[in-house]
Amino acid sequence: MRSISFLAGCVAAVSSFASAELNQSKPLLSKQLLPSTFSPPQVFKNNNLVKNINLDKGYSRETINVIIENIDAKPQSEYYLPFETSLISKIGGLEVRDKKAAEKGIFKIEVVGFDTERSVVESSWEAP
Amino acid sequence: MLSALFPVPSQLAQTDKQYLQYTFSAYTASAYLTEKQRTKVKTPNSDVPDYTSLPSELNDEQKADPQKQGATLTYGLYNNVPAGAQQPVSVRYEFTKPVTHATLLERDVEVSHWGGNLAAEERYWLVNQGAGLKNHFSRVEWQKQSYMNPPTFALKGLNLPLHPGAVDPYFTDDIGNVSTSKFRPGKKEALLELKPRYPVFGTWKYSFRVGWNADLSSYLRKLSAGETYALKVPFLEGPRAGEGISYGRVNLRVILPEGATNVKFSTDVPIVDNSTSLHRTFMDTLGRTTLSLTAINLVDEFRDRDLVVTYDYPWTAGYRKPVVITLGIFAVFAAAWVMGSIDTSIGKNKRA
Repeated sequence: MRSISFLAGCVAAVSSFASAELNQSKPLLSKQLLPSTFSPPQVFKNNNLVKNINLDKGYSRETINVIIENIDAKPQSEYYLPFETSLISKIGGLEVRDKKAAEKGIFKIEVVGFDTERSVVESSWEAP
Repeated sequence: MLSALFPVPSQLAQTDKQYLQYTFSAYTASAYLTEKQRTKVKTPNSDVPDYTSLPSELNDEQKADPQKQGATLTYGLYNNVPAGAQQPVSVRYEFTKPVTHATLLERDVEVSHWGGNLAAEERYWLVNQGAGLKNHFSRVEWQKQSYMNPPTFALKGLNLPLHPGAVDPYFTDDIGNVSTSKFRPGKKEALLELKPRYPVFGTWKYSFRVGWNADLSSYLRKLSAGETYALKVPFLEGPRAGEGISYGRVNLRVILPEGATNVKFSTDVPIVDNSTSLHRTFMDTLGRTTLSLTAINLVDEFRDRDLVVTYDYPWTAGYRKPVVITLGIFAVFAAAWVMGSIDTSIGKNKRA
């Protein structure tokens, strides 16, 4: 079975991309975005995806459980997660972790503060 | 997702139920082909008067779309959805609770080695993003229903669970001390119960500040190597509420003692900006080393996340202030003595 089920990775080093200082007096309320011409390479296939939207609180909380499969020949380390440009400024904390080693991930966070399974994704592109 | 829930209708009478609308895509946005997918929506209760129904041809199981079960709506199953596909749907559900949002939270944590004290102060700019009032606010109606304690979309109070050992809390706003607060110190947590001056209905705002002191020894540790200290404080100590609280922008300042150098920090809260500067206040010689961190779009789930700050603080830096003040006072005495011995009398001294 070649299916790699890592719910991980996906980092698109964004903050270093657009480092130009914006000259505005109002403090920034949105994060930096990738250029809109960027399109992620089609190297993955989502086998099974369940999105849970929890509206119990005064904000919506979305959880995406996905099993992804690498359909490319080479091993991959980046998985992109798109958001609409109008939504990206409203995204709160975004966290990705390996579901099979969730305890491991949480355990690691407590000790080190960072871990490799989890990363904050700040990728965005326009839907075609 | 913050600030994405909208009250429909946007204006309500004082005792009405509040309904929120949320718009999302039934197809999960993905950069890749998705073979099978479902979208489940969980609402706080089963009172969901409106939701978008999709034609059952889209559905792979040819059933009515969505399926409603109690407080859960399920869209799907969808097969082979191409990358970037969207299917906007909306759901409108009952949420007779305040939609509390802090547009800005300024949080200061001040470390004092001499006093063995950790002082925290938080300044909130709150807004209720729920529905506004259709008519005037009726105090009679409010007082009448306050004994029954029904669900309301106004923000009535906030509970701040502080760490055990927190003392001297205060709760003030622009006018002054707000007396409608209770403080319950406890072994597990010290609960600070705040009541704003007025019930904060939708679109209303309230800004206030709270602060407290704590014993430094439970937060600060001296590392065995050299004169390095490690400080571990919660990144966010905001109110805890069942309906949740979101923060548009959080500015956290950790004010370290004067002379602290080599400041490093680590936290797993997503930070957008950090800087180290000097904070000058009374009787300071150099200014206190201050670490400023900025985070945007946080929710109250980040309450348990810690911030660890390490810094070097040589013992000589702790004595700088008393030595400088002592020398200053001696300088004043010396100057007074020198000036007192100057002869300012008019006319020449008569010498015999």
